[in-house]
Amino acid sequence: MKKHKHIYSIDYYAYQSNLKKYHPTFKLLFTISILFLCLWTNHIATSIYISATMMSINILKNQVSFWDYFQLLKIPCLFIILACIAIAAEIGYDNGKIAVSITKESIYKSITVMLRTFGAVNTLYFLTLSTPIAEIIRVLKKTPIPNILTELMFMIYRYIFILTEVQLHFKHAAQSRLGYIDFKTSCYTFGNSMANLLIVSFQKANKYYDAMLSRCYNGELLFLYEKRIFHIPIFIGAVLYGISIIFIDILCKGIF
Amino acid sequence: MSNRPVLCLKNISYSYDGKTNALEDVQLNIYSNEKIAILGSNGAGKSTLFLCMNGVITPDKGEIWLNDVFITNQNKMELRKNVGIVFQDAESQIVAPTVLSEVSFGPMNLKLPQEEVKKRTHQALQYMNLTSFSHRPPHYLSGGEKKRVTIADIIAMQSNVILFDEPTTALDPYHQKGLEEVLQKLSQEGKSVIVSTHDMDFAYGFAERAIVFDNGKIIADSNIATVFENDAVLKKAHLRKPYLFEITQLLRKKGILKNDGNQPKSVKELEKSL
Amino acid sequence: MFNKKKCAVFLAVLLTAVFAVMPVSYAMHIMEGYLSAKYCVAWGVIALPFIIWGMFSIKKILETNHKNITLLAMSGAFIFVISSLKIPSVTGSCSHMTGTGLGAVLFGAAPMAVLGLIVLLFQAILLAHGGITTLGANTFSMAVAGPFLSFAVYNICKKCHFNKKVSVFLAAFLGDIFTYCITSIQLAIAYPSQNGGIMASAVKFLGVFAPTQFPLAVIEGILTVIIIIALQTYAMPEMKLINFIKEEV
Repeated sequence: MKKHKHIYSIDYYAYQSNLKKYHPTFKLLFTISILFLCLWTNHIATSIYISATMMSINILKNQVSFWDYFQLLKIPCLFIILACIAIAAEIGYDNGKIAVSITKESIYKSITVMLRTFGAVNTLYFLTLSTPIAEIIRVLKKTPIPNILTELMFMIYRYIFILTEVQLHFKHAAQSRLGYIDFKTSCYTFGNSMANLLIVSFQKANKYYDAMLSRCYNGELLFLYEKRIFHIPIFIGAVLYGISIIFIDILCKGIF
Repeated sequence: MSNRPVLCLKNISYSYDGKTNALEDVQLNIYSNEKIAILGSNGAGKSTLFLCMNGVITPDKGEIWLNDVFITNQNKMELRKNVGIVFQDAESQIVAPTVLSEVSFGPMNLKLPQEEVKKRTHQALQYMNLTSFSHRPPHYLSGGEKKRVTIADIIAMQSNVILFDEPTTALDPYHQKGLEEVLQKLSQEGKSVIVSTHDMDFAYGFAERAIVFDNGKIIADSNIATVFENDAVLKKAHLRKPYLFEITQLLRKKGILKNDGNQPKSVKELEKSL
Repeated sequence: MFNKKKCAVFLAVLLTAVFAVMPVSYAMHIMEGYLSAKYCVAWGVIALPFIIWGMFSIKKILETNHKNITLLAMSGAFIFVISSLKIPSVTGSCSHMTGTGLGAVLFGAAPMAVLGLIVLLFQAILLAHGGITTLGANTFSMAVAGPFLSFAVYNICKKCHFNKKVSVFLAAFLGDIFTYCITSIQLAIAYPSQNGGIMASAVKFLGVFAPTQFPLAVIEGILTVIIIIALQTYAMPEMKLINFIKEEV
């Protein structure tokens, strides 16, 4: 399996992860519980603990190299920094004038939120780097979520990659004819190639429906899935991990 | 060859827009274990014919009979079950997120028991040598691998008639050879294999019977060698003779090859005749 | 308390540094973990009726012809792809379209809510923009508020017989700005200012994101106009297909 540069890298990592073999329901529930714990404890110590453990799981078990993982963290960090600067800087009316001020409390609050968000992002990465979307949809299909929604998800997931490929061809074709030479041309080229992409995607949509019909499609996408294992020691480990978070929380809140 | 056709099309006409006919008065009998090539220029109606034969398109006029059963809207599923299409664009046929799920899509739709679905899927994967790919998503496969997946799709459905819509396009010579072997193997197993193609050499090497389409009408339907001898038909449908066929004709004209009525289908066979 | 002037200068320098170094993209998705649990749930509950409405409209579209399901899925995939692409920009930073204005003008607001929800979920999973717990809040601002405003603006402009280009631009531009305002308010409600309350805090968040969002909204508007004009010139049959979807709603 080769990694395509233009194709979404998180998806690629999910397919080569060591943790792919575990049951997606388990991984999804685990992630949601840890996210909940991260939000609920809302403490610098637990946030650091969760960030550190999740980062090491992602790098060691999900087999994402250190540098790649750093790249993945770049964009979330931008948001975190911006939004936390906004929390740190207090705006208030001071004698009728608008004043910007930074207080100790506001900095403390901003750092707490920053670390909590960082921990949560790492936890989300645990799920997305170990579980391909298709398996997450498979779990959603078992929940009471309307069938149409999961059906659309399956198709959209498949079509995203097809359209990305088509778009890349358009882009190369346009670049080879200097379509992106300056800003104004770029705008026209981009707009027109997007219009083209929409036309192509609609033409394909009909074909795809015919292809599904030809194999007796009857309004529901039914597939066989790979067997996923449920490992009891791993489950116990996950529970212990959750308890350890609560323990750290109690310990720290007791001290401070 | 038994006398009763597996699939019988009677006076089929179909039009996409109500004005021009994509298919016009098509009469066609398909018997079991046949190897048929469908030839014709772009837009001659080959793909439409395939969709009709599989029941995706309901013809405006005409009847379709499958094993002497008249096909209506109610038993259309029977038609889809027994006639499988491998589409030209592999990308457009693949719906599932992994190869395993993809191949199981057909059998799952047939509402077979889980065990049977598993058996068929794994057999089909093995047949196309895809077992080691079963966990991969389609977007990390190469073009040749995707084609193999789409063929495995239809094999898993165990259709009796398999339609291949321009299977050789976008395949390298290695995969093309592999494809030819698979087609021969399927035919040996008793399935009717119908191939629409622009590759005359490929068609000549594989098929025994040729059907030529022009503007939605069948203008020739006979033994493949007979079709290629008919210059008028070839000219009308914008086709050319296969190189091997032309060489054989040339060798006969020069008196190097005996005129024994044998038509060599490969270079090896030609060598034997010499 | 620190020296105020120093603070302001420090902040300005920091912000410039951040924008100069970091690629500006998806800054408006509220990240995983940023909202505390009660706000996650609350925004989810607020977004839910719109999603249900969208589901009914999609059900209706499929009842007329089930074939439309691949068309809807393609539309969803299209919105995902368009929002994941780098768009041309003057400064050299890389920014992205939201695609919500375009989606609302093309497909109508109600189906767009559902497609937007799926796209946001996929962005969270495939691209790590946004998150699972903040899905409700993001859905409300990006899949509900933005598209509904765009749709309304577009239709009002149409009723007033505005120039097509102007109405499309206004729809996309205002949709974008509205999304950005809603997100800022969402952030402000979660983190109100100590002495200024929610409003002061909202102004603060608006200010922080303005340098990225305002030019982006203008570019988004222009690109949306180019796309719609191109579609109308070259793709009437396809446009009719979409109009069919919209009429069903």
